[in-house]
Amino acid sequence: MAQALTMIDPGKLVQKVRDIEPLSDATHKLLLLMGQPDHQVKDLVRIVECEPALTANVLKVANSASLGVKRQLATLAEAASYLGYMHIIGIALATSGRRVFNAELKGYGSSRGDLGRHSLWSALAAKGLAQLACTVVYEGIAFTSALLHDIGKVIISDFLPGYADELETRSKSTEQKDNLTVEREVLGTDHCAVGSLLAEHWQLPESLQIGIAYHHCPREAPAKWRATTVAVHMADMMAMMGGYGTGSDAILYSLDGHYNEFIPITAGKLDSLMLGLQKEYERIVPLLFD
Amino acid sequence: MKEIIVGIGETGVLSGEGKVLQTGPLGAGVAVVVLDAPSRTAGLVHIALPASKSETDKIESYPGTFADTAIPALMEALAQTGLSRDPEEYTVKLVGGANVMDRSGAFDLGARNVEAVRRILAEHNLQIETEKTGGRFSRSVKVYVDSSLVELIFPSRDTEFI
Repeated sequence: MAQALTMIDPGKLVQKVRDIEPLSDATHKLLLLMGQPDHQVKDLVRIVECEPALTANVLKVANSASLGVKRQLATLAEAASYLGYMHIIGIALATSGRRVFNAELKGYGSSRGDLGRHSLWSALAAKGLAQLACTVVYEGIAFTSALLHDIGKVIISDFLPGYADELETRSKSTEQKDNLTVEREVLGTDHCAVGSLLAEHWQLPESLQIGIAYHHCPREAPAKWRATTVAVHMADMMAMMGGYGTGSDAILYSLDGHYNEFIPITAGKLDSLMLGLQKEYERIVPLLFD
Repeated sequence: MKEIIVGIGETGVLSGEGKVLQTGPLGAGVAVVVLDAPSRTAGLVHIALPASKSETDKIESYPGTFADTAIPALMEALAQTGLSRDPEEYTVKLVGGANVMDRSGAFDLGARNVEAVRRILAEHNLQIETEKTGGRFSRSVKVYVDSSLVELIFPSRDTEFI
């Protein structure tokens, strides 16, 4: 192993959370809105119009050639209606949270931009899965939680030198463990718990904090948000299966086998969803994260 | 050195010295490499899904997306370079098809992809010389056309050659 791994010093961890760049006021308000089960585009417009740079970005994306708009969208209301909440929250996070989503996760052997691409793919998948649910899954919350679900990796990545070697060593042992278990054993915490700390520091709504905290153990989530968290969990797995992981940990995670109780999906449906998502992802990713 | 990135559903063929074909992370996807050592020619396709069903537009633009359309597309691309070998004369290498832990039901995509690719290759009389599939680590591949070597790349870990 290149360097010995040690348990994280809680004081250093808290300091690292505090050092993360705060979200802009508009992005924070958008996330508060998206954390609610119901929201309307006009509510998003009221928030976006208070931040000129974000307004300009929304208009720029709405009028980009790749989205195929037939006439120029001159006002924010027109642009927002055309794009929908999904693009707007994506643009806000890609702008205000650029340092987080574009971070190079050295501890995970992940390149700059991998986290943004993984997050976007997961978010699109969560939205698609929400539409297949047999119980209440809040589509907007699932989408936004999936965008944010791995933010904890940005913080603990710096505490993980030599981690990829550790994973390799453990992968050769007879007892295979998933990455979350390994993180807990070598760091005393995991990226879900740390992501939840950051979400709390950013004062995100409970629904999003839960999506982040429980995305690898969705059945432990509070009942109200459980099905939505299952969507985030499945979406994360699908992103890694599609090749959109965040480095050495992909795809070393356990699937919660009870997903069918919330979102029943056949192999044919999953394949079809993955194909559709790939098309949507290729259309959107250059506008947000490249 | 000429290097071509072969994206999801894409097919690449190169001949000659100093040429390299490369995929991004495969996840549950499968890379099929077809090599012709005498002419120093290599073909690579990055397959994402087992069957094309009725996805007409994707088949036309990215036939490499599906196992059943990828292999004919790759063989056609090789034939366009002027190669006219019997299928048994090619060296075929298979990489990818990683699976999540405790996979069940629909999430068995890596295994389903590998099974479909094996079947389609057999239907085209293409015999697999080396296979590194399954497992729980996503890999990328680099194909060195000169040497017919295929490098398996894992993030931050030692690479492996086949």
